[in-house]
Amino acid sequence: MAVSEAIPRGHRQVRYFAAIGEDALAWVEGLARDAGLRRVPTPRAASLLLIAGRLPERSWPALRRVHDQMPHPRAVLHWGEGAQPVPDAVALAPAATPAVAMRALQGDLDRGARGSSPDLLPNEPPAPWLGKGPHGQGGEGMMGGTPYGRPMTMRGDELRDGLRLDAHAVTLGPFAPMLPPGLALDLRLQGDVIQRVEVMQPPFRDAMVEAPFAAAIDRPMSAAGLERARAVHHLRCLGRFCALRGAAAPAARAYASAYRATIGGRVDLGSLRRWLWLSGLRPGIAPGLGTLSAAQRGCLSGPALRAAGVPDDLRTRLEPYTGVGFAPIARQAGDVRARIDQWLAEAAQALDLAARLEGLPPTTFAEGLEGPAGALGAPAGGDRGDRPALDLDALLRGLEWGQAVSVLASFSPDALRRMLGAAG
Amino acid sequence: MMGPLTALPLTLCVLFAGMILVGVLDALAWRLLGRVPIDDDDRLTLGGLRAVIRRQSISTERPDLAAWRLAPALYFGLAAAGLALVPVAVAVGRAPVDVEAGIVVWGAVEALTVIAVFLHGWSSNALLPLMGAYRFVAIGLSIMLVSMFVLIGAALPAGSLRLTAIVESQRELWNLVRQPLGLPLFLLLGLAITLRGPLDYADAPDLAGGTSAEDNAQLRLAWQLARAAMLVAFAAMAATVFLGGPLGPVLPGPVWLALKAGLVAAVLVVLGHLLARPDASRMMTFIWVVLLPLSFLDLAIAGLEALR
Amino acid sequence: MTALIALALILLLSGGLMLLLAQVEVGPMPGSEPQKVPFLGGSEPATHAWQRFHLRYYPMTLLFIAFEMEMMFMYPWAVVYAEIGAKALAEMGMFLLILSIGIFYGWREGIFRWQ
Repeated sequence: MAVSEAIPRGHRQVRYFAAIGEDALAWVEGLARDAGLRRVPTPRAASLLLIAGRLPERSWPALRRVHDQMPHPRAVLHWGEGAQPVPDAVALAPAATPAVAMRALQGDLDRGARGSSPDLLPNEPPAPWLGKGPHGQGGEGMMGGTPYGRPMTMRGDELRDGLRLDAHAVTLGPFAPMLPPGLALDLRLQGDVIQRVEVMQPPFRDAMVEAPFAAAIDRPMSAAGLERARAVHHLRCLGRFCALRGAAAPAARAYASAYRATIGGRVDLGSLRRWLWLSGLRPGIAPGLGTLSAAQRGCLSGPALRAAGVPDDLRTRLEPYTGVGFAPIARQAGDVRARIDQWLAEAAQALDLAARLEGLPPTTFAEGLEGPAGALGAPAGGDRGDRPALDLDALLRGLEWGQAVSVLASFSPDALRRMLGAAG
Repeated sequence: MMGPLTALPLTLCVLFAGMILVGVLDALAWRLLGRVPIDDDDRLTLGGLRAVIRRQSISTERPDLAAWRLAPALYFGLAAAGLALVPVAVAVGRAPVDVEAGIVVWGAVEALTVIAVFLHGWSSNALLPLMGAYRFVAIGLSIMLVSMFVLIGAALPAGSLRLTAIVESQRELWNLVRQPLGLPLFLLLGLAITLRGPLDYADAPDLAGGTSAEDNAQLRLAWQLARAAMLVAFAAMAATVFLGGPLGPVLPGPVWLALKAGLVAAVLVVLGHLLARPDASRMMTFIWVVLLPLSFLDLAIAGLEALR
Repeated sequence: MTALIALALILLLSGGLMLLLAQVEVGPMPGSEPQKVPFLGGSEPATHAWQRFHLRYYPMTLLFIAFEMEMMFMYPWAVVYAEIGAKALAEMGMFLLILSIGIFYGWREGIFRWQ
């Protein structure tokens, strides 16, 4: 279906829900620079579904559900390559800027010039009505009835005090906005406390972050450019973390700094530091939260590893870094706080390195190099393949939901994906 | 005091005007302070209004639909009742409703807000809203105690629980100066009952919008309107208790009150965008172990000051 | 008394106004079956969300009630405070001190922890 060409008059705010596929997180986060586009956390508040990036087929059923949860009138935009399950989605090439198309689509919906995207799933009750009487008590007591085909939560052992209370089993994701894109978790919850976690699906690949680093293995790249890309990665992770904690102003500063670093502008992290201090982000995180057990520590890499006291960094051995006196930053605690600090410190370090490496001839790192989330290529010591997979259950069990979300957000999505043992 | 026939339209008019201001402040703060890639802040901006009206209403499977509608109604009703307590002028007429135990009634408004938020999260029979509601009750109850001690501190120099008397007692010195800890502590309560920033455990981004994750169309509109209304009521109350309400030179009383309340609302909006939400258990410990003793200290300062 | 009745009227009437707004349904209500599935980031719930969960802050609420009762005494105290003077301050100070010991004990017992 075509989108009307006319640019809509006046300022139009578009509320969209983003179903983020592979390699698309940076695209979607970049859209926040446009004040007319607001990414909302639930499809109930959206009129546009933005499918960004390639969507693996196994997540199509989830996408269909999210699509159907949006109220009419609604429209779908697919920004990226590959197939996706919505037949009347407006396709947009990866290189295009979707803002104009999104505004035009919203305008068409408002004017009624475009029909609403119909349901993808059959209009049948997923769990048919079995109760007796209009209010569905079922007449068999609290647990005996099946008031609405879906059963009630059954009892299970309580983690702390040995009570037998309802243990709510639920799957969240792969398009849950508080989790990394693609991550689907099977949870057993007690209120808002996690009793058990199982990974149904690891986060989607996010190779865009590492693309310049991976390229530097084969062909010459500017080391200064790579360091800027590293800073961008860390700042965006930091911004995402702040946003999840409701600190919108520091989050926006972090993203703005990342953007300035992308376009090669001068970045002053002092202002971000002040905003972070003012926001009270750090003292609000429990000390020791998200610390990996000694046995689990082996699956860490990159900044998260250095935040846990291991100053492993390939840059200590590589030209041109040795030429400018590079020394890795490390800290001891290895908890969420330490990983947040590490991102900020390494972003500042990377920007400083970029300034010092500016003007040097491009380098090929055939021996491998330090990517934003750990060593890339063929590092001399220890291959990535033999790392143990992260036991997420051991890490998150017993945590309150908000804490669990923070622990997950303290790793970059791609690092988390590799820690969970996903290939590629 | 005015008759109910005057009091109700007056309260509602002030409330609506204030809600428009809140919408403007929120939109400004979003543009200037925090344009983030994921946005739970679906408040009363004009764009937000346009986005919710003319959208189809969806309920969840087997919701408690009556409670879902009742929650914003209760929230809004409480905001209106809270605002009606506020003296609009120093001279005649004073508050739309001049209750003898004004701050006790305001305390009830705070407490019932927790009920409204829980009802809202409960009603949709969905996990994320329920979790938001559940978390909020613990925090909302705790911060309420702090605010009540602070308010009692404001009643001491007045020797009365009546809000007009509290305003009258600030002719020489505002309570902001008399009890320097009072307003900051009271602002935290404001963040809690308007579901903002560090105390927004109900509608937070880590729950995809929490209690309002399933809201759309008219129910979303109603909830966000009520939330803005509560900010108006809170700002007016804070301006009355700590900033002398309608007292001030040259300009008429209502103008002073509006200016002061507008300032409080702006501060609250900025704080909501700036401050990070702590872990729930950490916040609870902080409230009981740090803020509550601080509110005792505040009460002691206010008490000593009142004896001077 | 008339003031309280007026206040109740304001609460009911403004609440009623919002209730009316919340009743305005924009069709087609309540939506199709797949539309009504609660949002879980793309997953489908297996059970109802309503459940009997552990009220983790329950011990804290008991402490809260102690303070709310204390508040009952504070309202009349605040009114007569200026007349009685320093004695009233000392009395309330003692009262709060006793309750503070309760907070301290509760803190040591870990009632403000979530799990």
